[in-house]
Amino acid sequence: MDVVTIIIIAVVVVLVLAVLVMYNGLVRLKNTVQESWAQIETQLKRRADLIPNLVETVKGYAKHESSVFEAVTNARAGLLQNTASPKAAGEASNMLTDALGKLFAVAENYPGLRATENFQQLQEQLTNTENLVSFARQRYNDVVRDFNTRIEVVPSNIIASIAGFKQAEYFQIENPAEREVPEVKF
Amino acid sequence: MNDFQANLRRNRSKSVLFVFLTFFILGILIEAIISATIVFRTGETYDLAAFLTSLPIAFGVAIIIIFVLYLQSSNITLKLANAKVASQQDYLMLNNIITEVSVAAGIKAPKIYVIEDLAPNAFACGTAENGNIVFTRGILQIMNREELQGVAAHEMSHLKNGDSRLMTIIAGVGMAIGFLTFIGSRMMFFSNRRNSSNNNNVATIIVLIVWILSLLLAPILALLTQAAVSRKREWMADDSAVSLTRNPAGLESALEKLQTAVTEPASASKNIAHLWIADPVSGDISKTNDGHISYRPSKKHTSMFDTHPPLEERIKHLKAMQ
Repeated sequence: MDVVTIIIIAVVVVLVLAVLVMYNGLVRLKNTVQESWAQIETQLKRRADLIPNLVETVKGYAKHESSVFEAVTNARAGLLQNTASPKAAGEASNMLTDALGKLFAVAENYPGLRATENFQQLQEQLTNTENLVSFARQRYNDVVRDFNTRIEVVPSNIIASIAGFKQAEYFQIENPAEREVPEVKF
Repeated sequence: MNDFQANLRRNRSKSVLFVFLTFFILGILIEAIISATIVFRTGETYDLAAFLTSLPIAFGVAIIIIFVLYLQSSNITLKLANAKVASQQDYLMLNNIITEVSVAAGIKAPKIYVIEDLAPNAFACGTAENGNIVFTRGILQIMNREELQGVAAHEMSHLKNGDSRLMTIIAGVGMAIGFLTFIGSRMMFFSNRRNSSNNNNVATIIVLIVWILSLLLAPILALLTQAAVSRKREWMADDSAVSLTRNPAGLESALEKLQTAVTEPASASKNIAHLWIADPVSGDISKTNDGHISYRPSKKHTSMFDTHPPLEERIKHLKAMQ
């Protein structure tokens, strides 16, 4: 075996290894994207489950604010129907966050309601749930950005296109200010 | 690859270096004690052959110590700090905050502990997969939700960046070195002087010098290493905390509250100083008129032995991000 053959073999081995490493990296990122999406779904479901209880509590004290309850109930229904794509789910989720913000603003006008322990627990629950949704979304979008970048940059874009990796969709964020956790003050 | 990840990777390779360094210090110290034992207790000469036989033993013992610490460090630390599990019922908000931040970090939610200590502080130990975060009673009393979230994110970052285990090992090695130095210095007094006076060859004198030097230097080097690693990682953890919560104001106001806190943790010890979010042992202790001992964590100068960057600088850094 002469030197040239050895060099060629070495180059081929290195290339194959590089392709394997890049492919595995893409698979790992794709799995992380899926895992973070599952986390979002879990958190959205958790929030949807919490809402009926919340609405009932506020209703007991503020019967006349029917338009707010309607908005929350509609937004919740909208979210339950729109979990298929990240974009649609994101929009529905934002609507629900807005509606909940209004609900708590209304609740603020009823001191009797604010004083109940049940309500304070719900407040903590809601802050927790909104934070969970927001953090799950933040992490999902970060992971999607990493994955999409990896698919686009040379040389892993070649492997991505051969292996059929597709860009992942961001979870919709209307405006940058919404990255912040909605402030619920009492 | 962004700055943050590059930083993480650099830190990881540095960690390896630091573990080797502490391992080396520990090995030398044990070797010094073995050689001193040979010379002072048995009265035999310490020559090249003795050196070559005892060296593997010394480093073997060092490896075992580090390995045991690696497996047991979290449990030991939690026991030492007398930490009690913070249950979901009793600490609902704290449990919620930890779950939230762990979702942001994409790691398994760590176990939460509380220690009955009125000084506000917190620390993390363990790994990203199996982490523990400890809060003092004091920090839970003075901080609001937003501030606790900042502190939780700081501690979670330590876990995610792999700092906690490394620092716990360094802490353990620090304690081991302290203990060995103690034993070594006691041997000086109980040495068999009749025998040692018979040995007047050069090797024995060299052993004596190396022995004294390593007894003096090992604890200092251990402290310096501990402090250097720790300071770097505190900066990193502040930055990663903000990248998790996207809310520099929360951590900033938490640090401001820590700055004005006036009590020293009862469980403060130099060996786990670097684990806490704020340095528990720096600062001045003074007696007030009514005889109470008061403690100011803030201080004017910085030194190589500090385990934390000054709080003022950390606060300034966080303010710049807003």
